[in-house]
Amino acid sequence: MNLYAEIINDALVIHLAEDRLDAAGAIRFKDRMRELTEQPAPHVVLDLSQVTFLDSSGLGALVSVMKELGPRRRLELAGLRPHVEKVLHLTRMNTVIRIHPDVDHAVGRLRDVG
Amino acid sequence: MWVEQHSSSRSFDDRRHGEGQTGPGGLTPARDGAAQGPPEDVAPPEPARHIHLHSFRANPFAVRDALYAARATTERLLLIDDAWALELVLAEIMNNIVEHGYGEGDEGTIFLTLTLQGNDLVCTVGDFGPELPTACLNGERPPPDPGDLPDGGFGWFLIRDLAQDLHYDREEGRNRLTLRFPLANPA
Repeated sequence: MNLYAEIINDALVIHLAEDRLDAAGAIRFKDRMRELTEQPAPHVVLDLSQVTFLDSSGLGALVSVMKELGPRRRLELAGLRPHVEKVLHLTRMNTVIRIHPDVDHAVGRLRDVG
Repeated sequence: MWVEQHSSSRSFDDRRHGEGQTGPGGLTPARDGAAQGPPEDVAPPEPARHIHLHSFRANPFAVRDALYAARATTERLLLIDDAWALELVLAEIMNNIVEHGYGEGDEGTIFLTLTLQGNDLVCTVGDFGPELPTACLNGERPPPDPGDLPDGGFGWFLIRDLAQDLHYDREEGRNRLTLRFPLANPA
């Protein structure tokens, strides 16, 4: 599971360098996200621009990470490919997870909002 | 030989997990001897034609590999959005078999068959786990409420939403789910 993180403005930006977030990778994804989000940053942006396939287990892993961050640290998504975004729309999880077109937009908005 | 490397013979070479078993989707029994090509048709000539037969262990990594292998076939035959929908539906069906069918610790065999039938690609997934609860199929259970931050429960909702012409039957301990997608370029 290839993830790497950087701080941009006040956001912890985590890039998922995998082509899929699925049942086979969900547990490792959650474990790695737990390690990386130990960094104290008020916002966490997950860059999914390399991910072309998301299944319900991958979606479940995203929600788990969101819950583990707690109410005070938001998880936001950036760079969703069309079929990944479609899974969020079909399940209506786009109504509870904030989605940005890309990382630049996400960190720019975060600075404005924060 | 290069002939050995096209996608359908690769799927036959992957039958090591299901040696000697007759697949539930009308699979031809695997034959002894590894280097033989796809078995010849044993049934009398009929419009349906198997183009991808794969049996593999029920675990998430084998499911992922099976999806990769199937996509090599479906990408050639279906519209891009249909190929994605099929991959997602197959992922949900097969991961459900791994988690709830055979369950943890029991890596039974999953059978995946892709068949050309008229202007459709017909996909069949078989397993020998417990019977599929009817609530999965008829949508009695509504999808989870996003506001509850559900970390599961969307699998069957996605299957019902994206699968076309979904059928289930159970016979002699074998579950079989069948769905079909229209070919991008019908003959």
